[in-house]
Order: sequence, then C-alpha cells, then structure tokens
Amino acid sequence: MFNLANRVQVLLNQTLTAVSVLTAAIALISVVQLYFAGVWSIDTTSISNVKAIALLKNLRSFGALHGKPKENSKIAFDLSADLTPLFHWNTKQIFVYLTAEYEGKLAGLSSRVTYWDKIITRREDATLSLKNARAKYLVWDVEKSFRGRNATLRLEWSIQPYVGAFVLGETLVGEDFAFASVKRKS
Amino acid sequence: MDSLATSVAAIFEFPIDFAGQKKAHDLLSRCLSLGVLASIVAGIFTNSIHALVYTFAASLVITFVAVVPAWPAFKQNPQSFLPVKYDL
Repeated sequence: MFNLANRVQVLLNQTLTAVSVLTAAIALISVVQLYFAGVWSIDTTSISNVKAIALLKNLRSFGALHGKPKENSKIAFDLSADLTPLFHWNTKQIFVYLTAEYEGKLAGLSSRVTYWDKIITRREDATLSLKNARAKYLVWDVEKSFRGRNATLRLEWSIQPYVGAFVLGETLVGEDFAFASVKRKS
Repeated sequence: MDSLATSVAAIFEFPIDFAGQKKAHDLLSRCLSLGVLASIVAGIFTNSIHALVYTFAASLVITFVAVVPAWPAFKQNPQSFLPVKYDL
C-alpha cells in the first residue's frame, strides 16, 4: 500500500473477492426466496380438453427406421397457468414445457415426451391462457407405437437466472389422457 | 540516467507512511464489505438486480476515491530516520 500503483492493485484484487462473494450471495438468496414464494407448489394450473391424434409416418426424420412406419402422436389442449411467482429479481427468463409421462417398456420405468414449450421473458407474459392449442412437436416412442397407453400431462418450468444455477420444477397439476391409435386399413 | 519508465513511475509514486498504509487497508476492507452488504439490501428491496449492480459500482467508486489517492490523513506519522553517527 506504499505507493499509488500498489493501492490500485490491492483494490482491484479485493474487488474480485467481493464480486465472488456477492455472486454467491445472490445465487443463494434468490433460491431461498423462490422456495418461500412457493414456486414448487403452484396448483392453479389447469390442463383440459386434451385431444390426442395419431399419425403414421414413413420418413426417417419422424423416427421411421429401416422402412418401418412409426406412429407419431400429437395433441390439442387447453391450458391456463399463472407463473408470475417465477419472476423475481434474479429471473432473466423462464422456459415452460408441457410434457407427457407414460409407462415405459420395462416395468417401473417411465418415458417422458415434450409436446409444447414456450420461452417467457417478461412478467406480464407469465399468465398463460391457451384454448385448443396445438402441440408444437410430433413425438414418437422407441417402440413402433404408443399402444394407446395412458399418459399424464404436466406443465414443467425452468428458471434461467441472471446469476446462479438453473432452477427446475413443475406445477402440481397433472391431466390424464390416452394416446390415440392409428386406424389401419385391413 | 533514469529510463523514461522509471521517471514516470517516480512522478506517480504518491507514497504514504506505515501507519497510513494500515489505515488505508482497513478502510478498503470496510468499504468493500459495506458495499457488498448495501448492494444486496438494495437489490432485495428494489426487486431489481440492476439496482444491485449500480449500488455496487457506486460503492467501488467511493472506495477508489477514499483509498487510492495519497490523502494527508495517510501521512500523519512520517518515518523518522536514525541520525548519522559518523562524519564521512
């Protein structure tokens, strides 16, 4: 600290330490705040009017391999959700996605597919209200068909913060539906 | 003959005494810790991370002004050298 250059150097060094402490504090405090804001127990979501459609696709880009057609699934749905609690001072944007979970090929294992998603960057846009919305993605299983199994739709979310780790979660509401089957000409 | 770098460094030396160095170091630590605390509080109460960043930047500027220049307060105890014992 004896001369000017040394004082500048010590100041910059200490600033670096202070910034890392600040960053860690923000990351920790914001997750605790989210917990007390109850973002992991949002139960006002409603998913309804689910209509499943099945299609048979022959293209490789729709999962058809070795010339065997693959059953693709899509849905139409109504969705209303209020995700404003997810927006707090450390939220940059949120990613919301609608997934269907169903029993897998082996007992005890489940598969999950994403039908629809959305990136929300503003608190004003965090109230979702969709009527007869169509799935953004066609999905298919590892097997050649979904075999008309039952699935549960859930709205999941992920917070991308300014500082800190991604925060993942889902709303507590699940809506059951059955995959449609392709009507084959016989 | 001094090189140019040495003479420039001599102009920007701005030395302070030993007691002043300790004072400056303590001041630096205190200012920065206060800055971190104040910016977290500002961020939480205004609900904005931008407020936090600006508060911290302001606290850095204040710390810089308080610590880096050779203020008279850092030169209150000049080091006294031993008297010369022998005539050359």
